[in-house]
Amino acid sequence: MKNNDLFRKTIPELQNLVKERKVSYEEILQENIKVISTQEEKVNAYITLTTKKAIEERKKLSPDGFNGHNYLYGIPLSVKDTFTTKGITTTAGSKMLEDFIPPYNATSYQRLIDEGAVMLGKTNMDEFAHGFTTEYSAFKITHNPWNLNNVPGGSSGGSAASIAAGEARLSLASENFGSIIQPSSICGIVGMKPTYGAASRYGIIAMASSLECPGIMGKCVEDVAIGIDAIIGLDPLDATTFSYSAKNFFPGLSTSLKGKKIAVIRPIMENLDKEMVKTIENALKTLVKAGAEVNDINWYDLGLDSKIYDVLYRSEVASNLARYDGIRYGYRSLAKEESLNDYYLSTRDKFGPHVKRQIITDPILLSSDGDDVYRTVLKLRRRNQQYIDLLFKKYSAIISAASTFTDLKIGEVAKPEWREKNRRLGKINGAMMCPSVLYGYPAISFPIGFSKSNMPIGVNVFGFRCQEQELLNLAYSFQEESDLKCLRPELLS
Amino acid sequence: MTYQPIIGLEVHVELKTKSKLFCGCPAEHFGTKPNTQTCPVCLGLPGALPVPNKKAVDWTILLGLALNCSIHKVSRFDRKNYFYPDLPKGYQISQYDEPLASKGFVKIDTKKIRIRRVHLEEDAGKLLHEEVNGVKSTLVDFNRSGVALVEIVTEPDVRSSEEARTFLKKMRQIARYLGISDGDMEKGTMRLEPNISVKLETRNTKHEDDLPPYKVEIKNINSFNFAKKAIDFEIARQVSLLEKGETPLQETRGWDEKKGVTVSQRGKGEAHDYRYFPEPDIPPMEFSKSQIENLRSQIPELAEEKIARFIREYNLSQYDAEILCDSRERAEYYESTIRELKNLRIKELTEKTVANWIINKKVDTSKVAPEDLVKMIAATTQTTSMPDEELEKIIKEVISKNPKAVADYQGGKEQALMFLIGQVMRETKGKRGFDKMKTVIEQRLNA
Repeated sequence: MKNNDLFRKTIPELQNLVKERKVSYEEILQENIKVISTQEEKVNAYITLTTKKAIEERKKLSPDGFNGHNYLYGIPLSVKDTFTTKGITTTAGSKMLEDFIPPYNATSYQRLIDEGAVMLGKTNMDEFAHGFTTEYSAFKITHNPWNLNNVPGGSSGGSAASIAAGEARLSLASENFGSIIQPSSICGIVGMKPTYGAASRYGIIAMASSLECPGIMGKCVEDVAIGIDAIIGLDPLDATTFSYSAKNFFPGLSTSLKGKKIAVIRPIMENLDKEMVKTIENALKTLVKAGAEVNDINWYDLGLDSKIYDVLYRSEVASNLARYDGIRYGYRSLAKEESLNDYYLSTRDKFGPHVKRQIITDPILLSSDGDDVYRTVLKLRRRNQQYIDLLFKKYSAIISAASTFTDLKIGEVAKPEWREKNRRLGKINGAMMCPSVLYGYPAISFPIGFSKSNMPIGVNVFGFRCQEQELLNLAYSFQEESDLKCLRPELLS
Repeated sequence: MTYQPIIGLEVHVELKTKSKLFCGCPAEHFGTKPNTQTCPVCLGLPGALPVPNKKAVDWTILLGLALNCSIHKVSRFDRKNYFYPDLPKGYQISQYDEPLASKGFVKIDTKKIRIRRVHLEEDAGKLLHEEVNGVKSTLVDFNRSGVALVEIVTEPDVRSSEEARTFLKKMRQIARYLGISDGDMEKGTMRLEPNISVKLETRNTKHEDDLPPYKVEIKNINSFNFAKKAIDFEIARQVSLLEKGETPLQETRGWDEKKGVTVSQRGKGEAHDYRYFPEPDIPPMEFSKSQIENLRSQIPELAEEKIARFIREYNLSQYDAEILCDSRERAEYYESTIRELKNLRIKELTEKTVANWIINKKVDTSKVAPEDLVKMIAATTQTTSMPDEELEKIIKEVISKNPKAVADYQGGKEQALMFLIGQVMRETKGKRGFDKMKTVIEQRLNA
């Protein structure tokens, strides 16, 4: 079978082809490695490539290794460089950790390779996940495979680009503020973050502990369901995980949405650009056709969630980044310093400017004078969660947009004009991205169409805690109806 | 005009759990090779997460209950943020406004010292100042990093260094009775940080609650002796300042054991802002009534109750009962001998006699079985019913069979004699009196 044909296959289809001896695991691996060798220098999806190791590991695979359950057997994987990988450099996109080789695996990564996945490399990201375009990586800028002048979104932009370009089949990424949802949408792929605590955070280089969550990116809903199945479950190494009773998302996929009530956050739609709204409206029609009932709902103050998010996130970030002092690992200033304070100053100067800004704003929020801010915010967080929990008594999913833009050029965000223009959209973006992250709901993004400039447009759907299956079914139903599946950027074909 | 010292105590007790507070590394770190008991969690490597040790949480509650505290239904960990090379994460996981226990008290003599709070936190690593390849260097050993530490904070109810020392000894006794810590100040498994200020008492000031406008915290105290010395020195220093009409500065001072003085370490202006916030990596802990009652039922009879019972049941003096109950092991040994006494139906011996023996003859409770002790005591009052030759023979045998005890005795260990007497006793089955036996053995050993 030609490599070109493999691109549009789902993981279950690939496993069947191997079983029937029409394709080999070697061919599946080589399909991705070939794209890496020809396209990676244009895309820059990876910080570290481990293709040599992958080729060695592939040799251990048996053509009969797939047993009907382990769908990831022999499947090429990319991993966001925020997940620790034993013996493989893990940088979190920062010069602070340029030479850091962890002696342990992140649980989610361990679970994927336990099922037989083969890692091709560690993907690029904004430094310590601070950013939404992957331009704030300390190493390189990742380009969007749909338009190489565009950003791929972020902070998991490297992961999203690696899937869209065909440089991996599945990617392990992490969500914090749309870090999976938004790049998935911009790169025309499917991305999902499960319920907070459903998948282990052990080994994720922490940005904001109470907010972040591992997730999966793939070309289609089936692949993502398989990846989520693999990473979910109680982890004795992460006290915030719980045992997930019903997980079998891939076998459970169904296209019927009969009797399902879906809510659309209307105030968000009113603020988006017309092309995106029109695409979303069309997608809603498709869902109605599949049996769903779609209702508009109102929302509380659109700016509130991002304010809550801001306080929690900045407070946790500064604390989480305090460990990078060069004493045990990571970058250490070699300058001879007069005092301990000077030592900290010169060592921690290696953080990028974007990260420094986040760290500096924290003491204001958490200082003993500002003590009340954090606690007030925790109260608001509980209140808003109760409000949304009530909505889920009636609706099985809530829909909003996955990105405020479709066509963003590299370098654009740094310009003052852009910042000015997008001040209003920033608030909307918060309202779109925050609920699932702040209140621990599962969320999924999947492609629903294209812009006039031929850039993919996705949608963001979140559901009640532990209702991943509902979201996957909704996305699956749309995918099967629209055939927007395993989309391939023309540039690279 | 008199000066009244106002002292609040912060006592740290290191728990002797098998593993550390948030990871599986061994907690016992005394005398271990540096950095051999570490893992990603206690080294603060990126992505590693803390998972609380249930035993450490239970033991802290146990201590809280023993200190008459209320146990909170919900408690949680918080992050205390500050930079120091022995603190691998750049924050210490501690407890801030929702500790495991609060509002208790401890009785010392007739006085109550109120306990403000009891909370659980992780210990830091240790800095070692050494010369490495001719360069003065500071090295860090992380074996202690993450070991479970309980902090007990009192209200400012302590009025003298003697009271502080009594309180400290009481804390050690309770921790040892509960079997949760060695409470050894020299090894650092118990540490004291007193907060001291001095109040001028005039005839008009009757308000106990009026506290002086400053306090001085003392660090680096690592023995009971130094605790007393440091507090006495500090009170005298503050009084002399007050007499000159000055107010002592609010600061942290360190005890310099060589010079016998306290030295300023950190002023008020340099005080840390720890930016506490709830530890997001650990969910809040919730305790049901039955969980707490279950723990309460695990508390053994503590020294205070034991002393009262010994006085009541065995007719002992307060003094004797206190000495016997100083350690749980000794108190339990005493009660075993009393049981033997009853089993053997030796009517002429009283519980008081047995107590005197244990206290005055320095019985090594780990070597002499309670049964033997009772026989030994009984023998002192028995009449002769065994020929001298037979006794001599038995003594000769016992001496040749126990060369170590003999060597110990000859090396100056009086307690070894009691052990040998016990052995002879087994053979003579109480047929010879104690004093005669002791004389003969001593003669043999000193010959």
